[in-house]
Amino acid sequence: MEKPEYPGWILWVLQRACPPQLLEEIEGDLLQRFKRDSNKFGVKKARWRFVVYGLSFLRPGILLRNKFSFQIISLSMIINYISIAFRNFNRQRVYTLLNIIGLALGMTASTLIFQYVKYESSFDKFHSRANDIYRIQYNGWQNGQLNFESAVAVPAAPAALKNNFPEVEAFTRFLPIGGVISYDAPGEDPIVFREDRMQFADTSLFEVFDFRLLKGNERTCLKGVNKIIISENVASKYFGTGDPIGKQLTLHRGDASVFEVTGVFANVPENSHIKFDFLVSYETINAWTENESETSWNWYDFYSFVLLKPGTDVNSLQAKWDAYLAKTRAEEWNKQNRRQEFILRPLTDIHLYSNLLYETSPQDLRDGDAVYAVSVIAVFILLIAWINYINLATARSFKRANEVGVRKVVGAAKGQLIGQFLTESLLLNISAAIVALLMVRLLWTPFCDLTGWQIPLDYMLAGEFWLMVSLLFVMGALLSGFYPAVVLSSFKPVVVLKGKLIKSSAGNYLRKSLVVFQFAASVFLISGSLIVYDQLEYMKNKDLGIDINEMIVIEGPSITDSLYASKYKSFKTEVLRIPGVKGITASTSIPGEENYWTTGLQRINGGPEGANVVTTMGMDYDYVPQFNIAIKAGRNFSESFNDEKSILINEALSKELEFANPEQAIGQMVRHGRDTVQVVGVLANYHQMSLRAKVIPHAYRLRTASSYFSVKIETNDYKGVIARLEVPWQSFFPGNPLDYFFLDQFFNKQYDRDNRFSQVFTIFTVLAIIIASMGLVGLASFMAIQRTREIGIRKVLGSSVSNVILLLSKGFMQPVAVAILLAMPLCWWLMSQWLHSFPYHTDVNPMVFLISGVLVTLIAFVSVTSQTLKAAFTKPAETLKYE
Amino acid sequence: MGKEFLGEFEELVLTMVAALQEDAYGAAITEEIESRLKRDVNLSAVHVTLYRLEDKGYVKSKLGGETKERGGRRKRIYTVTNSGMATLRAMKEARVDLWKLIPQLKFV
Repeated sequence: MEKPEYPGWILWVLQRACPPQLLEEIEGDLLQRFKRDSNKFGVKKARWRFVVYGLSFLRPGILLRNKFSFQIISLSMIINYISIAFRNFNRQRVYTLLNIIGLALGMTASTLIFQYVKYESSFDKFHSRANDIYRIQYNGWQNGQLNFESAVAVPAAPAALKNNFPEVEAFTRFLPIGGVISYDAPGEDPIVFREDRMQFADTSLFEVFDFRLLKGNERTCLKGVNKIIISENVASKYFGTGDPIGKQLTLHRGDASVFEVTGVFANVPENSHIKFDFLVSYETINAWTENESETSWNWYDFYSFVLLKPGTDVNSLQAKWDAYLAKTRAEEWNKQNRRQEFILRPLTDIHLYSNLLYETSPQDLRDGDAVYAVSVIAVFILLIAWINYINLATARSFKRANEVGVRKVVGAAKGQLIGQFLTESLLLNISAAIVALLMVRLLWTPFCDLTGWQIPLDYMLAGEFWLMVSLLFVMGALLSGFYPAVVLSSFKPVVVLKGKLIKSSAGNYLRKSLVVFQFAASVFLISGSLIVYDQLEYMKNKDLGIDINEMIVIEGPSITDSLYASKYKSFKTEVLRIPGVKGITASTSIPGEENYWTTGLQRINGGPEGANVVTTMGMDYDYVPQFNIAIKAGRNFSESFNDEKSILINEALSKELEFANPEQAIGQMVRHGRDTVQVVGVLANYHQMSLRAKVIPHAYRLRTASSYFSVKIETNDYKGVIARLEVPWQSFFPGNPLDYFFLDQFFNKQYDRDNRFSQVFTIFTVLAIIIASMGLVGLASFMAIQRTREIGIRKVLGSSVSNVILLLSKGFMQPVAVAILLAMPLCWWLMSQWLHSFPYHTDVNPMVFLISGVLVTLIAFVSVTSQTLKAAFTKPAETLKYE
Repeated sequence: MGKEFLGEFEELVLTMVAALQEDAYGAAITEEIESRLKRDVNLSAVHVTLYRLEDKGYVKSKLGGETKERGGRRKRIYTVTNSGMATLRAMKEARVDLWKLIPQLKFV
């Protein structure tokens, strides 16, 4: 056959769009016109006109005629579907309720989880050019070994990158500081707070990021020395409703610096990985450090961001940059036998995938894998709920077999029956979705409180949210509705109307394997949450090598003078007089706080080549005994020696310095920064940070007055102690707020995120098992009713109640047993992987599987027997009297 | 003219239906308008207008013969109903009345 000259697809479109009664003449007219056009204008132009004419039929005047007639035909059918569906729901209220509750729980849980996942993956994406922004990660190599991977880089690196590579549009740096800020309003009491969300920042900040400046000029507000811009919150905290611009804030850190407020910015969004309330002009730090904060290649405290031109290939830029560094920095590196790497990391990956040294707020970072693991749980729960529907619907199918048969005999087409059953699943899912929406709204806040997830409530208003809910609903309705609909509608009327029992072994197998899946998921979740809990307990209870209990930590004064050291001494004497106080010690850092003081350290004689960059802490004489740290060799700092030029190291450092054993290190001389000092003692390794981190090489120097005072107390009346602390505090360090906290609480805050993860895991595990057992209850009760007569006859013939229960439960317990056997190895393997991501971890305890296996069996058994018992106790006379 | 009001294009199409008699169907009407009035007409516009006229009861239709050039598809032949004819006539008379209001051109 000759291929038609006209574009056939137009006719295809029209056939689908146009009302059938009009189609023929429209097509005919179009074709006739095409003939005429091709004679008149030639085929090419005629084809073009054919398309234009054809498509212009897709106008309301034509299409609406379509819809009108379509509605007349199927509306009555749909109404019929709905009324039949309601009759069915009404007849089987328990199943309907079980289904709706199960589906609603599943939808609620998954909606909440998906919102959470959405929130966690939204971090830093509010910047309009988020995908072009990269943070510079600093890797330090020492003697050919990777020494550290840090989130902070040296200030010269981003500048060099910008100046030598045209791909870089702009760079900006943040340098964190903290201290006490005061506003001395004329004629009023000064307003004083300790502030830690404070950074020095480059002027280019607003070029790179989308942080919004509400007052002031983006280009000039951070220009010049001693300028500061503040957040809205801070503005109202210090200045109330007054205009902050031009006012002066004083920062107290050792000495006082006065800053002029030149701008107010909108509060940093919650989903920014870097958060700040104050930004001080970068020129200020340049002035303080004689420009070292511009030129240094060694001082790494700077969060550095670069903005690349759109479409830049990062890998090739990285390669060029590496080559550039190797060329220009080689001489410097070789002197110290080290190497520096500055790696461009996408801004948007920081929140979920970065876990470097000195992250800006490590407690807010998330483990991307854990976040997505939670969404897997959500999918599990949804699947379990949908499976419930499928199982209950197909199990009930026997009951409806007659209905299907009669319908078919009367002339129902298969498609219509499918329509009927899909309508039922649609209605169930709609009711479930409505219940779920209500629950989501009600549970939103308590749920966020419980899990520590901060999901903004206005997510519920976003179109995306509604899209997701409707997607869940449509998917649920189709996925769970389709299979039962096909099964039910395929019954052969001749067979079912004869009253033959339909024994579809395929359906039976399917139902059983779905139950296996449900319970495997439950076993998996139970064992998983037990293992997570186990690991947490292990971390919390493992000996840290340091005693952090009964310790109150006071943040040292920021407003001080030259007499600080001697004042601290007098303060200490006063504090020791307070009853209940056992000791007080000063240090530059405390357990649970990342130590920022790093210095090069090298042995004078022997040891590894080049200097190691070593974390250092300053402490006074009492730190080691008060924290109960074991001394492996040598001695603690002591007032009977002059320990200004002494150093303590930990075992890890002793090993890294290649001492054969701790004793050997004693008396050795090392260079520590600019000082040459003698090792006088080696401390046992203890955990400065949580057990998520390895013990790192550490050095300790004597500092008699520093930023934290740890007070050991021996009384339950800590309030009394604190009240008594106020008096000497105010007399020795006037103007400083007395800020204190409990060390063990502070330390365990590091586990907040893990605790929350464990809680979430547990909550959803419980949910999953509730939904799964609801399904089982439904199935069992249905089976029990199905077999009422059989049970009656068995009892008449002498079966005991326990026999009957056993008989009925067997069919359900088999899949549960299979599920347990399947889930265990999988869970073992996956959870071992997870455990191995911790440097200190427990092993998978086989007891976990025993517990979860027994628990699941028990739950399943209770659900099943709750239904079968009734059947087993029914008197045969009652069930058989109708026969 | 208190009755249904006809749009300009509707009136045109209705007139064509009346004029073409047994040959009044979509494509023919379109061609006729194009060739007589030298005005480009969209086929689908004619169709929509015909359906609308049918809804209003000015024309009625039946399916007619098929031809080869139509790919074997039948035509829908339209004929003017009495009420359609009456409306057409009323409109024409109204227009003539209006014409009479224009002062006669006089050649001097």
